[in-house]
Amino acid sequence: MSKLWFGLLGIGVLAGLFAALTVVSRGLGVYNANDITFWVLPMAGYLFFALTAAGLTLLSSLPSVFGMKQYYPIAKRASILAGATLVVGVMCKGLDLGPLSTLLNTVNLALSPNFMSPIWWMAVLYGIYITFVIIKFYFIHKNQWHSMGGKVSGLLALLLMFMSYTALSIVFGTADARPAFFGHFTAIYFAVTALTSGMAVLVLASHFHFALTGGMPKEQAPIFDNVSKMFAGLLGAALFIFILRAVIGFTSLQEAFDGFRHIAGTGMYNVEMWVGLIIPFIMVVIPKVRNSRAGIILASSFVLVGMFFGRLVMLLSAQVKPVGNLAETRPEFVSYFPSMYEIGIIVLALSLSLLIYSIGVKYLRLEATPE
Amino acid sequence: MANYAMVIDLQLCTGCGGCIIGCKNENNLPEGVRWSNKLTETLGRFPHVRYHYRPTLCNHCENAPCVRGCPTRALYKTKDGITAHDPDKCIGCRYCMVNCPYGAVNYTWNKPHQEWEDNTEVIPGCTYSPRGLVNAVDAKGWPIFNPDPDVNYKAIRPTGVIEKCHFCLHRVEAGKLPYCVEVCPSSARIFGDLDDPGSKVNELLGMFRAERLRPELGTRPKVFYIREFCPCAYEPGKGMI
Repeated sequence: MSKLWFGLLGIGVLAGLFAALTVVSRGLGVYNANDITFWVLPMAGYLFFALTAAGLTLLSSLPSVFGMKQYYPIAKRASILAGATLVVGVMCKGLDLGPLSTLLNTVNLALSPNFMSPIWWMAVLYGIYITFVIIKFYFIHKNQWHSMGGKVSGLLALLLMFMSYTALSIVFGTADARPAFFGHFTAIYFAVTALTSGMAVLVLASHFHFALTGGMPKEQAPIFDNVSKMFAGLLGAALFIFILRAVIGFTSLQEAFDGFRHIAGTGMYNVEMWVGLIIPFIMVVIPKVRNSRAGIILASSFVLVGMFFGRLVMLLSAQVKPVGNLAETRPEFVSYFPSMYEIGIIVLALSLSLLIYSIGVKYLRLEATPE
Repeated sequence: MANYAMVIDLQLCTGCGGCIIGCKNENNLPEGVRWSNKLTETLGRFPHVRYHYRPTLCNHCENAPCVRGCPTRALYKTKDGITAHDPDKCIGCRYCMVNCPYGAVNYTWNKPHQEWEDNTEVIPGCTYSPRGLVNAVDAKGWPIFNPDPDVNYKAIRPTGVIEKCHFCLHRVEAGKLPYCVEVCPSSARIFGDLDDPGSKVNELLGMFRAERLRPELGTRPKVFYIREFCPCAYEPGKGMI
């Protein structure tokens, strides 16, 4: 890997750190958030990275937990990518709480827990999940795939992924005051899109790696042929869920869905639909495009861009229409554009995850399989 | 133990906004934040137009979704049924803002009253600067600082936590009325104990059909609205085709 690449990532991390330190010292006032749109870009970053990590955790478990041994060559790469995306995802959520004084209050998650709160379960489960993802990677890296520690940590990482993903779905699913989060439908939407974005990251990272290292090893060609087909299938499922969500959103008589209908007329919704789903789906169902390195790299990149916008679409749909007395003296729909600090947090998350992965590529032999 | 609630008599309410101003002063609310608020609606076509005004505040729901969702019990129910907040436990996740269907929760995005830290004198050498005025009256944060809420809340909430109406818990525990009730010039707000059969709120709820906001959500609000100011009359008829 070139020094230029690491230099660029370093600049990204430094710029992002500036934004993060500003947030920690001054609070969330530096975001373009307010009492109407209060969960904005950093929260979208959290959803994007955390759900991508869920997809990657499942993919990395295919050989060791589900016995699909042909997928060993992708497992270690998926595992480190799961860890990297999970770490930055949780970091995004942390930087969406408040200044240092507020962050110190998080000790109350342990001192004053509310077991009825989905957010409490989400915070605790993600904390444990992240630990087991790291332990799992440690055992894989030590080539102890089939040791007791390797098996237990792999299984627990998978179980905790399901549990934390469920808690995250319940956070949105039980928000009765905001139906435009799509209630319990969120669980299925999160499941399919998490797998799709996880698969997109894996496909992108693997093919990019092969492009830089002079090509895919011949024995791995059938594996990646299968992976590409699975990717196409998942994209099809994601498109189906997207259409289903649109039908619900457009046909509901509830006023709360006005926010969704408003957002559906904006550019970001079109990015989610066209760039994230329709165009890449068309690309991957064409065998010639799917089997070309440039085609699959482009398609997976499009999916990730679209999925990121999709997370913001989901958040804003339930917020742009002011609720209750907050609607007084405000327009029917409020507008939102991220501040440079919000963009800085996403730059930090992206740079940091790429840095972790790049260090993995350089020093940790991510193509390793059990001996 | 009491079960406090509020009845707002819309026939007596003049829509003056005194409750909003009183609440801001009593609780040192920062710019842009209102715990006591209003919902307005204009209906009809000119010249037959009517303006509806409904004062609002936290509904102190019996089944409060903000309390259920708060991960650290920073939002809690007092023994008297008031939905209160402990800023020292608040992690700023804003899930209460997601869950509150009434828009009654605010987050302190910036340092409260930071506009009063400005050292610029409007007329140099003649008027105070905002900070100079705060210092001159020996106040904290802003010139009309009220230290009373410090008893069981923070008089000024720190940056990065939520804040909300607490029925002036500091006053209620001292045997006084919430300040919005106290300052209402037309006595349109009636505060009392739902568990006391002889309380004024029960007397009114037994007398008039009461309305609550968004009852379909099952939050069981404890702010009740009765009557509506209407001096109008119309000639009876069956309409037209």
